[in-house]
Amino acid sequence: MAIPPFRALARKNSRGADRPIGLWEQALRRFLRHRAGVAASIVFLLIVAVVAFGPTFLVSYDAAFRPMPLQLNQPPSLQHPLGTDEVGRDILARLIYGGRISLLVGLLAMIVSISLGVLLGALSGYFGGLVDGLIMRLTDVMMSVPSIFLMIAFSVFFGPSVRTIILAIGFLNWMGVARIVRSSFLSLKEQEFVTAAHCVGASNWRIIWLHILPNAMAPVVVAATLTIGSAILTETAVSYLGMGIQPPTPSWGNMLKNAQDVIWKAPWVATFPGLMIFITTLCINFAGDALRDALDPRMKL
Amino acid sequence: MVRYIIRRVLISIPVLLGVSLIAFFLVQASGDPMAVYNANPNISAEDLMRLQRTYGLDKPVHIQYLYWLRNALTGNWGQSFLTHQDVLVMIRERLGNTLLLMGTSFVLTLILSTFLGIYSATHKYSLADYVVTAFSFFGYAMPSFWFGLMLIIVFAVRFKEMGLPSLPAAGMYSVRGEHTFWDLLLHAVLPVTVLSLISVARYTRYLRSSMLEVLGQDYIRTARGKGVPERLVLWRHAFKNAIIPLITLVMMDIPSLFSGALITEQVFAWPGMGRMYWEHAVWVDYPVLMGIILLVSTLVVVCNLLADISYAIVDPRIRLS
Repeated sequence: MAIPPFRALARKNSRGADRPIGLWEQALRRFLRHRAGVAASIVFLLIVAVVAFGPTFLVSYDAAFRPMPLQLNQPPSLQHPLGTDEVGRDILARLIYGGRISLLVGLLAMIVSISLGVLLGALSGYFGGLVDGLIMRLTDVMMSVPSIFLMIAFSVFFGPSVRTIILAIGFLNWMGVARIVRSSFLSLKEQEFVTAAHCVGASNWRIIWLHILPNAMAPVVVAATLTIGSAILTETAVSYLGMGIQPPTPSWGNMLKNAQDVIWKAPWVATFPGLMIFITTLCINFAGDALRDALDPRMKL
Repeated sequence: MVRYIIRRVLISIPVLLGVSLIAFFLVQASGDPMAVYNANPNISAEDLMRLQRTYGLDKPVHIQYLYWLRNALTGNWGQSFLTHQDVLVMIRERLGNTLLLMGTSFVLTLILSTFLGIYSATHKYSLADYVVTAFSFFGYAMPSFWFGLMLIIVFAVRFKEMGLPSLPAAGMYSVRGEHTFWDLLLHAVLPVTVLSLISVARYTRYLRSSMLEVLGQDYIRTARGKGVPERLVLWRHAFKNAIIPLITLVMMDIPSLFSGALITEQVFAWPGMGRMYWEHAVWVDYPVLMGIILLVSTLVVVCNLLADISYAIVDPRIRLS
């Protein structure tokens, strides 16, 4: 996508002179021109809205949770738009309740892993030396184990609850962000504004959080967006394996767990939860991509 | 170069020690390996105590870790609490099956993504380019286990219903019948497709952008200007430079290949190493779990080293120091 020149983006202020606009406002305007990104964001917000307000307006708690022995594995019908599962629960209702869990896990796991990544990356890049060495070796260690192995161990260790899964995904996925933040800090800390801050007596803590970090946020925001998608994929995969969110609490992943047993009789049980995971991550990835183009088209992520 | 390699090998020792430390505490502390016997009426409380003493399970975790480490370093990886087989033997039985899946899909991925990536880069903004780009976005967002389930529904369930030649949905060989190569091939089609799709999506996207960047360089214009045939410009001048950043990507993807293998093996009941890990994780059968984790991590560390070395070989501008 072509990047509009700065002048074209500037807006007149009250005196008719060009008002300079900041990085974030520029980015927002570029983002709004990215049609696929905007469309994806709208679809994503729609999914969030349905999942958030669905239980109030669309489906009942009973339909999602109470087993109905008389209506097992029914194909989609007017009464059950997406059919029923192997114990007779309405799949649409479970999708809505399960979406609450899956989206919540994705969002909170993202917050955990981004916070960890930013904190460790910032310390590592700013202080260098021994701190840097230790943190980077830890990063190497964590990156050498396929996270699914540790995920499973983590979930057996703490017992598979929603909180465990959020923390596990968060603790096992901070390494990429840490490396990005570290490399931004390495170059930013040599800049003059940091020297100036030192000269007026700002503390390290203040310099890290108030002076350097705001300048290193652009790639973090993109990574955060994409991390929600990958966290949702991880949660659903682990729940599918039976080590994640435990029934009767539905998640898009554990709805697929038993689907394989009835795949010959009731293929719709397997179809819809996966479709939701797919559409949601697709939207998040499109939005993240548009965000990257908007913030910095040269960014490699 | 040699000094660099030696130093890197030396650095990877503490990394692997770190892996084993974190993994051991997580895995070992996650439950009681003796829980298998709890339901067994033939084993009394004293027997259980004796077993625990035999396996050193009555010692504190850090002592157990040191025992385990000493044994592992001397080549004794222990026995499974479940099957009482040697861990190394068990892994050797399963590793081949996993590598069969991964290797096939890896080769397939490289071939497919090379052609797709180059085609869409040379035909930028054509219909085919849009299709390839859309495909790579889809592959990124696709949950692999769901893709596997959909393939089963279409090619195993629906095809069978319609009387078409269908593919087997699970396992490595048919339950009845001989273990023929053809049978193996039929069983491998679906899992290999699942494993390949996601990597093809990733590599195609990277190769496309990398190719586009290289094709915009001055030396490409020079080559064209002096009349080098387009085919040579593409393959000799552009492609060779475009794959350099991909080497890192390919090597960084090795761990995710193993993760993908675990999930895909589970979907298709493929008797590989990932499935073995899953089967033994619930029982805290830590000798097996540790064996698998360390083997995979070692492979990852080795692949990273190989990536950096091959980086320096293909691109003389990079000096290893």
